[in-house]
Amino acid sequence: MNVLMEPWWLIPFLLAGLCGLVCPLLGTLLVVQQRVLTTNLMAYAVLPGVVIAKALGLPELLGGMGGAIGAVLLAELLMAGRPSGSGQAEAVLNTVLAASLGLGVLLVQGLELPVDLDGLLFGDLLVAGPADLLRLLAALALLLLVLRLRFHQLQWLGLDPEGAADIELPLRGLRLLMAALTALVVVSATAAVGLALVMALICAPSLAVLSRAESLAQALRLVAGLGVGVGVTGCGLALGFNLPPGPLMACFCLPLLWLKPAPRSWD
Amino acid sequence: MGHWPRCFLAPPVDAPLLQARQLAFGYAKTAVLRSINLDVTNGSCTLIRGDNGAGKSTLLQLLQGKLQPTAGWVRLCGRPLKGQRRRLALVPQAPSLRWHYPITLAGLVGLGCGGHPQRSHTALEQVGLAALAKAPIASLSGGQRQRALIARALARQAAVLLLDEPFACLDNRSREQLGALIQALAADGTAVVLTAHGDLPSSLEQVPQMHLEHGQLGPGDRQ
Repeated sequence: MNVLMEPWWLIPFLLAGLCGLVCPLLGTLLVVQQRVLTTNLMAYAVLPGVVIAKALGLPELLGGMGGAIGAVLLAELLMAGRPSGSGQAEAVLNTVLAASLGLGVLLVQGLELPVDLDGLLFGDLLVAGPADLLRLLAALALLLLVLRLRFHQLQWLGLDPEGAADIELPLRGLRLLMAALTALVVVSATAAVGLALVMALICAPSLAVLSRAESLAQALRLVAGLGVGVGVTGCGLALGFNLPPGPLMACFCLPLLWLKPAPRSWD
Repeated sequence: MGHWPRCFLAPPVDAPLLQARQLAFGYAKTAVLRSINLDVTNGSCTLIRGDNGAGKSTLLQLLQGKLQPTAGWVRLCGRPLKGQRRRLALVPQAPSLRWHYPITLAGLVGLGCGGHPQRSHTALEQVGLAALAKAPIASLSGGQRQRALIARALARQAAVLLLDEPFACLDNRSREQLGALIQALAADGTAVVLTAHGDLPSSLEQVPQMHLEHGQLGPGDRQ
């Protein structure tokens, strides 16, 4: 318990809690929109973007977001014209994902940049600072703003994309907005859980609540509480047992998948 | 039952609500539809019959503006469809709707009208599903899902309902219920265009039919 009294642990704890709030909130939207695989691609594509930004002396946030969005656009381009539902889209996404990761590693080695690859991939809460906290707070604020202003349209997008096109909703703009938001959240969560592990926080709490929620709004409320719990508990256990917080939080997400209630009967 | 304005600029009394002229469509070098002419008026029920692959679904998608014709045009209230597509509600044979989405039936129908509770409730009453308003959509049967989508279209005050093979995969009881609902909606002033093949519900046997064959639409037999 003494460790919690130290002020320098405050930021890691706040970051873990915030990450546990932001990632599952966004993740719930992504799961219902069936964009999880794309999000995974974005998470890995942050790496070459960050490395290029470092090489050019640009902000990492900008580079990471650019890498993520660039990879999605590339994947969309490569998927164009391929038959939907054939599995080819998933194959394209996974290939671009692997290539992005490979490119990132090659750039780190080729440019001989002082990049903490382990920290980027698996997170390092102990070296996180106020800037990381502010970035995550900004991501949360933007996410809440989008939910407030575009909730109705996001529901259409998740429930019935074809129907949304039929009523002439700006689908392309909405998807671009979601991609930008996803990139921001993934880059912001890097300090806490890393690029490779952020998917666990994005997916697992959502899966735990979606089968029991009667509405998207209720799912978002439930997942917020659960996510903060996972983040803070994972961080606490990591500090208590002197383990790396990111991997521990990711492992901590696995039992959440068993939280699946029996379906309700309405007959 | 409430009547809603069908056109922002009302056409002359006898003018068709939805018009298609010389409509043509094809994939690559294969012509699917040729020289289709169709007039749909308020409160009419237009039944288009045809074999599998005749182009019925394609025709409905052209009428809704989902597909662009290779020739000809479609107009709603005398104007091009662009900017008006939301007033044409297409209920496809295999809806892309994700039925495991966390939403109740009332929520689904409410999406059609921006969450307006009264319109949502009225639409659910029209299709006979008001009692299931709080049920999650995942729990609805096939027939109830068809009616739920029709309710969503009604809630959004669509001028024309386009129903693609609404009786496919329904048992006899559900077919009769849906047939009676379609008749009631038309009698109430909603324009309905539907496609079907095979047996019809008894309530629709007297509806004038058109037949789609070899890419052309012609008058069909009454059954």
